[in-house]
Amino acid sequence: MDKLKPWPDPYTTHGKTSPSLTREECILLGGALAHRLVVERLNLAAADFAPFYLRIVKNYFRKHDDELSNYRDMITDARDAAKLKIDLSHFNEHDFANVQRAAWLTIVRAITRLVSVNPFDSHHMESNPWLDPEPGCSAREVSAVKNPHLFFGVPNRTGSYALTNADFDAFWGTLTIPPPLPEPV
Amino acid sequence: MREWPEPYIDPSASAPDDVAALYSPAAPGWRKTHAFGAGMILTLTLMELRSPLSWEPPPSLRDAYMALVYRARSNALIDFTDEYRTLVNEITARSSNERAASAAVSQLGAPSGVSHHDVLDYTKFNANDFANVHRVAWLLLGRALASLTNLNPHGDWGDPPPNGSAHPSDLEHQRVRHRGANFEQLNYHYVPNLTGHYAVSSADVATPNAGS
Repeated sequence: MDKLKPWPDPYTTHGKTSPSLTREECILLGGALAHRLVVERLNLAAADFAPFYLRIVKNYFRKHDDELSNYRDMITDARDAAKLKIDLSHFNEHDFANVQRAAWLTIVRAITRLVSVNPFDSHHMESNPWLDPEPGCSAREVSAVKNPHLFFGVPNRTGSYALTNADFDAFWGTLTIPPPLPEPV
Repeated sequence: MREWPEPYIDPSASAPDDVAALYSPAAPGWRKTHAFGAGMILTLTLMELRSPLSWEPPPSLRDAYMALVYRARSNALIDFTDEYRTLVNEITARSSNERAASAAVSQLGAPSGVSHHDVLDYTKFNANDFANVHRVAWLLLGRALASLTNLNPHGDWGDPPPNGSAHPSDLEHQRVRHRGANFEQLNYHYVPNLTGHYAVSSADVATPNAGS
């Protein structure tokens, strides 16, 4: 595994808070979160995790409240289900932003492998198909001006993310995906 | 979960010269639960999860699936069913995740002690089965993404007609009209194979009411 870069310093342009989790821990927790969102989907009797997570996200968009404690509880559930030994006692808003971001990347990278197209890969995205923050920076949201459906944003009032697709490649030892793809004929 | 529509392919729904309709099998060889079990395993194979989740299929399988889809997208006049059969067979055979296997066995209705892979009869796997397995994976990932962000990047679920099946060519132009010129790269949901209709809909992976 290539060594992952340290977090940006300062992490944000405002405030002094930095993530309490490492990039590796965020990737593992994001995978655990994505795993639960997928696996429990088919067992409707037990499928309360994904709807509840969605409910928190919806609540944020409606009220723009700080939902950090709710997210922490959900991510703790995912951590425990995955039997990960990661300390969340200092979990803060940036940790949530990065775990959410890691789950997003886990799922979108899987979609990319499934269809051999990154659904966010478009010249309308200003050549940023993974919606990464600027190198060495953190971000709260990268939006596509021409299509508001295509974005990655942190669904919480506070918190910035700095996890990138390149971190995933470094962590997994993969080449950046997807490969150049011609238009289907 | 409702079983497959019958007839699986409505001849009147496709133009007479629709090559996909002409060459698709009349019906899937697998039951719907089998498509869901294999689709779940495919989904988790494509995701990157590391021990102690203990889901570590060889990276080559993830890459092989993307590469095969890449070839199919680039050669839309070739039928890749045999290659998909071999690859999906290998993916399900080598899956080792206990929780995923448990979920798959639950879907498959396998008796206790029977491997999920043993339930899947690949001698019956045809183009429609590939279409459905692929479609299940697409829906599971799309649903997960929607739960995560409250947004479906595709805009809809690309469902076939109620109690019907669909070939991607039936829906492709609809997607383009829906999203306009900006959507050309997102017009990505179709079965990456010359033949095969899918009949799995978003209702099959319905989310329980999440409340207000």
